Amino acid sequence: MGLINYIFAFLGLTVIILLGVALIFRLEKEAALKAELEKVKKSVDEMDEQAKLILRTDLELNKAQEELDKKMTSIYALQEISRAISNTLEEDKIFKSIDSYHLKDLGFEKALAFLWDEKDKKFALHLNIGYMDNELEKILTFVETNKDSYLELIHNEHVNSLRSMPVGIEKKEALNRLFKITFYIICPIMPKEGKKGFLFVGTEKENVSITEGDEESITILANQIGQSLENARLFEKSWKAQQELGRRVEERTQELSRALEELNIINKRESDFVSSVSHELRTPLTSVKGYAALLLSGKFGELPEEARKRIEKLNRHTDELVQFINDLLDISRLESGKVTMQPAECDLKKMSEEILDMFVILMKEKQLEISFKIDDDARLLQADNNQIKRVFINIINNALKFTPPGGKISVESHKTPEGIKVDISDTGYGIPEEALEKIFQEFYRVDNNINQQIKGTGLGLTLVKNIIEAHKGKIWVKSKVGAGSTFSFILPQNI
Amino acid sequence: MDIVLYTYFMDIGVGLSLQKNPILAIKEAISIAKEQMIIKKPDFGILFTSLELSCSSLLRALNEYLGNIPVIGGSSSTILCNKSFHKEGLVLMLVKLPAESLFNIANAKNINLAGNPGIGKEMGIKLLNGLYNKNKLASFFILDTPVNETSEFIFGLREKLGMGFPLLGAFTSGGAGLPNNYIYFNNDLFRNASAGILFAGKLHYGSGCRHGWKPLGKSHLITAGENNIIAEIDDMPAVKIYEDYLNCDLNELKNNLRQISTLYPFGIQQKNEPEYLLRNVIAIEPGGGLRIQGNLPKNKLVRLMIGTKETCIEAAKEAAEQTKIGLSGMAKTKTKKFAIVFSSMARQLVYKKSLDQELAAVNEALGANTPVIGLCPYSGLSPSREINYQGEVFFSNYNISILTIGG
Repeated sequence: MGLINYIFAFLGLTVIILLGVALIFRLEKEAALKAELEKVKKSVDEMDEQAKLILRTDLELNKAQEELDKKMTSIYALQEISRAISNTLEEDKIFKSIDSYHLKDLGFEKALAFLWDEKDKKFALHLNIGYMDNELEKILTFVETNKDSYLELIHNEHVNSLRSMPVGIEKKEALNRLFKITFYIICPIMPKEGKKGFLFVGTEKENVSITEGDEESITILANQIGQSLENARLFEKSWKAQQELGRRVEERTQELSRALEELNIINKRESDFVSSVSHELRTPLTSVKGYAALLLSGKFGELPEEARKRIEKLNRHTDELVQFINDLLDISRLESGKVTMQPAECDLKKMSEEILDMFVILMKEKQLEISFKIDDDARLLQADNNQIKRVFINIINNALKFTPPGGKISVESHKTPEGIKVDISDTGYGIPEEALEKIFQEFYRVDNNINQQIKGTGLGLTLVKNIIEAHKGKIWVKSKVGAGSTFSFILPQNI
Repeated sequence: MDIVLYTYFMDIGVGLSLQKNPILAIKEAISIAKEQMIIKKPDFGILFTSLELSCSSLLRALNEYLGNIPVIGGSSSTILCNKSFHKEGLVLMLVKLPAESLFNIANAKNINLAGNPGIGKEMGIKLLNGLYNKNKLASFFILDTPVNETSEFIFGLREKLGMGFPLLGAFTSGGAGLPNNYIYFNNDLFRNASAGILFAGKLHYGSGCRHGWKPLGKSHLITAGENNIIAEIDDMPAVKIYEDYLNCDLNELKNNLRQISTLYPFGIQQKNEPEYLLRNVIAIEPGGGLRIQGNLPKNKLVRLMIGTKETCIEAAKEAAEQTKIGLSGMAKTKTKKFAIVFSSMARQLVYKKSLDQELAAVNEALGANTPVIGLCPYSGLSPSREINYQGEVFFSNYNISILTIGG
């Protein structure tokens, strides 16, 4: 019996010990699991902290992105508005260019623009977006009642908004109710000249707030409007000035036209007079010359020597007078266009030989040397042979008259891009500088001792100039007193 | 002898116009849509416009140019067409269904009358008219009343159509402070109304719905709350969760509630659903409780969710891929399909300027030639696939929902 008890006791003790060990294991396992759970919990908490960081960063990024997008949209909207309002120079159209789509992009749905009329002493409405007529009536009354506040705002160039408004809640809510907005901005419109005013923009949205960026955008818009108004006014001013200038130019042009017409009439009368007088003078002169020739021919008996000398003198003077009248007639005809040039092939080399023949005896008498140098590529041209010959004869004749014995006359021609240039130079007395411009005028003769001694009509160079110009050429002179003169002219070749 | 041309395939045309004048816009859209069609006489039209273009003359002009075809649609702050979203403009889809396929359109007014599911039932009856013995496939509707005022209507509609019937819905009004939109039905427009279409017959359909928000952080237990108010989370005022995670004080939270709760809503895990059910906060209660849109019962575990552009694009692609499952029985040749996409407004907060990338992903998945139109509602109704709620629909402010009809 005792043995069985011992066995039972031993077994019981063993079970207790085993249970104890199991319990210890379990407790250890539990502790390990708890530790594991703590670890996991810690990891989860850490991940949760990281999640918070991610969320916060994401929120900041979203805010920044939104602000950036808003700014970009505003910039595009301002660009569009600027393009629209700067495309017009009419004051009325400037405000009409701003529409609700532009305003929406800036983040507002309502807008009003007022300009101060100094004459009527009130604000005039120029822009209305988003308001019905009955709402507008109350607003206009309010603006009229508070015009001093708005004038002060303009004067101080102050931007006003619910963000910066330093007033009580009551006034804020009253403004909101009247203008039917939750947020607004008022900005002065300040062109340098002319009417100033203010721009009001508002939004009905509740879950937005006005930022500094919004105020900046609306300020830019108000400035753009001010600038455009200024441009429009300046344009109107300059347009009016231009109109006035145009009118005056028109008047003056008409005056000048009338004066030119009168001048033409006078010129024609002068030409006609010269022509008429010359014809009338030539007829009796021809008669005089005829009778003088008859008398000299001895048909009416031999004349006494003294009488003969006087009649020969009479003949010479008559010739001179006839020449003078012919020159006058030619000039008159050229000026009036009655004479037209007869262009034909003109050989300057051949002409120079003929002219040399004409002057060779006179040159010998006056002990003058004359030379011709005509370049081969500058000898032929299309021109009126007789008239061109007269040009050469008149200029060489003058050179002959005004070159002292022992002097030299040279005639040269060469080709230029404009045509054939002819230079007729002499080693004569020269022409004073002040006379160079007048030398081609009718009847002009240099006022000096030499000209008083040498006869001349003052028409030769005038005729030469008219002939050259009739050939579409030009003539000029270079000269120095005591060193001679060079008469140059260019004739188009027209070949 | 009149020759009537029977089409054995679907014919679709989509026209987009960005003109600011409604008459010119609809004329342009009709012209473009008809140009794409072989059969110039469509069966019906779906019209989505921006709010500025909503006017009765628009619909009368549509009627005049198209000649009395059934039209449903609505306005929204954003519409979409093929590869792009537009804040202004209109998009018109003209559809000629293939032979042996049917449809009905219907509308309902005074949606938000409390305690009146009769209006929803009425619309359901109209949609089912003549189609009781036909193979009914799917339906979508547009509603311009805020979702929290429409539960009776939805219940009535679903009761008639069948609780398990695939129903896609778009709620184009977001409630107080947000602009009200319009519903278009034939040649008139309405407010506080709904318009819908039901397809039946020899057509294929596929629907897909995803949001793309992912859970972040650990789960938290709703310890106190009722209906749509969460009073406490983890035995603390519910608002503390946002204050803690976002490190912002109560004022900042109140000032930016809309943005914060849209970007970081609450999410509840659902069995057999690949994504969490999302609920956003619409108001902070005086005691620190949070009023949410939709219900979240007590003793549910919630997590804060985060959406990124990448996850949302991925979700859009998955939604489009999901629709292809339903269309797998369609013949490979001589068939066409079109897609109606409702992409919730909340997604725009995530995408910002990259909204078009979502449509690009949808187009890529559906096929570049699939005409796509849609709009951006504030809330949507989509079918659930959770095993215990087979056919159940759930509201969400975050989803991109796609309904594809092929034939």
